[in-house]
Amino acid sequence: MVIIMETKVPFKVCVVEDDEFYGDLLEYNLTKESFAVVDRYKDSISFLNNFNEQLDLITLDYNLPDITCEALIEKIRNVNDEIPIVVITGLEDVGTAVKLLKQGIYDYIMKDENTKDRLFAVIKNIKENLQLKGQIDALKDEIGRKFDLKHKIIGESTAIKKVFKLIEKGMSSNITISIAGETGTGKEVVAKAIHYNSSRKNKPFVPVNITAIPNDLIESELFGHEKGAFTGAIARRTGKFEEAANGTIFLDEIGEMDINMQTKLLRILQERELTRVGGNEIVKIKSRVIVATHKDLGEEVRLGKFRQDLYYRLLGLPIYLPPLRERENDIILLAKYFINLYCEENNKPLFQLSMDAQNKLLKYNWPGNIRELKAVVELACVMTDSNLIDHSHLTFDTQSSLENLLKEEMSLKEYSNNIIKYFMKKYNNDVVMVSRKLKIGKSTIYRLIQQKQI
Amino acid sequence: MVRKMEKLYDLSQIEEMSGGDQNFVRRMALKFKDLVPIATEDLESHLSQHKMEHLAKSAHKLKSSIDALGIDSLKLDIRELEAIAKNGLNTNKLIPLVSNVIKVLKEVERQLEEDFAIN
Repeated sequence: MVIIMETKVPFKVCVVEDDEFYGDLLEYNLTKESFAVVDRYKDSISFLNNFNEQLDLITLDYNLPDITCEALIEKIRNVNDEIPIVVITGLEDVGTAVKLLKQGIYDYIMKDENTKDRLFAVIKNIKENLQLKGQIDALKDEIGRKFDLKHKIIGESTAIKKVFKLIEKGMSSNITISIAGETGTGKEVVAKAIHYNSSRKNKPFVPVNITAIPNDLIESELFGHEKGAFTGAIARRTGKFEEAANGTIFLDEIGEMDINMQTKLLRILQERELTRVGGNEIVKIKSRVIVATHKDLGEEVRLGKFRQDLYYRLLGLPIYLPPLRERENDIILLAKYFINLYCEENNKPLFQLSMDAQNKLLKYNWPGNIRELKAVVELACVMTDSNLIDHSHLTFDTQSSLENLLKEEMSLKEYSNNIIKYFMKKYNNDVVMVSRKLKIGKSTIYRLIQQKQI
Repeated sequence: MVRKMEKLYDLSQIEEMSGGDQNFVRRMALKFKDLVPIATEDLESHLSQHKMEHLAKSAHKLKSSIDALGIDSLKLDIRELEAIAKNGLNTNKLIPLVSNVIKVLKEVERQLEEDFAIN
């Protein structure tokens, strides 16, 4: 839960007005009724010399003695493009107002009997926006804490420690990151951990699952479209790249992208700019790209299913997430972590994991990786009638695992080699033990090792 | 019988803005009174030197103060003066306009002095 404290920080306004009489009126109203702290300047030079970026609002008289209003706004925007600027003027001219609003001012207020009310409405809006911004920043900090590396990615195995090192390198640079790993290994968690611990943490994190978008919609989804670009495009829509702005776009399952779309993506990543579907306007891309796949992209390139040039463009810092079965005792650490989470969320006393349950967890293959472990542990928490989870509470979807394995449609020889490889790993390359377990000759295993088939 | 000159200013807008803060109303009245000699001198000198851009700026600057002080008789004149000085049309009207603005402002200055008992 996030608790937002409403702080009574004074609202800081700078009034740039060469008319001393009118400046007094403004200052009086701002201090008496909006409780603002007001700085006053009569010309641009003294104002710019004392420019303070901590201001909440700047009011400018349109007719200053030493500079045009437009030029002063440009100077302010060169230093800070966020402070709201309100132009207060005796000049009633729609053209000027439109021009200034296009230049990015917050409002254009006439000097008349309604000035005070209009100004107070502006201040009220800005204060509300500041409050919302404060809440958003607090939530972003909360998300950042949630994705703190040590809290979110659990593990002490050698394999995961290597991943930690790479993630830390990814956090401190802007390099493109490619994450590979089986389904359920936590690719999006790693992408979020990198984003929320990087300098872009207060900017958007935009995840896009390539497999979830039909091929004929993906271009418009990623790059946006203009009104009327195609049937059903009833309004302009910004794409995910624009949405990510200065943040991070996470392209999950990039290996599934259509080859034609790969060409378009490559061009956009090279040029760092895009045009919306059906449009001509060029939009600069400033977002960081993180991609993920469960496939071996190198192999996909060899098979001609993935463009080699895009592969190298996206490779950047490659992070391989090991499957759970290769993460040694992390299985138990993660299981205990999920038990803890379940107990916290359901207001239960902490459940214990029996030794036989731990052994059962360690022996299983985990084709669904961490996602599957979480489901298995949660079900066990539900099934136990005491505070102890034993082996009988752990139910694996072995049929589904077998089906998944068979879905890969390897040859019998490949299946055999994989089984031997798995046992060799499990028994620390103890050939005698493996030959006994699988009831095959030791010479068969040595031959496969010699032929580099296992 | 001496006919008392009608009040040329109206402080109700400032009173309303300040929520009836008489100290503030008095401060603004004094400030305006101090502005009058400078403003009238500027108008006169810019007119005599035909500095139209400066004249337009002085009129523009006075406009909001005249509005705030409720000097209704000058609200149109000061706008006309600014417009003529800016676009250069009907410049023959400038002399009577400037002299009227100066005359009214000086009277406002006198009335403020009297009303606020300034020595």
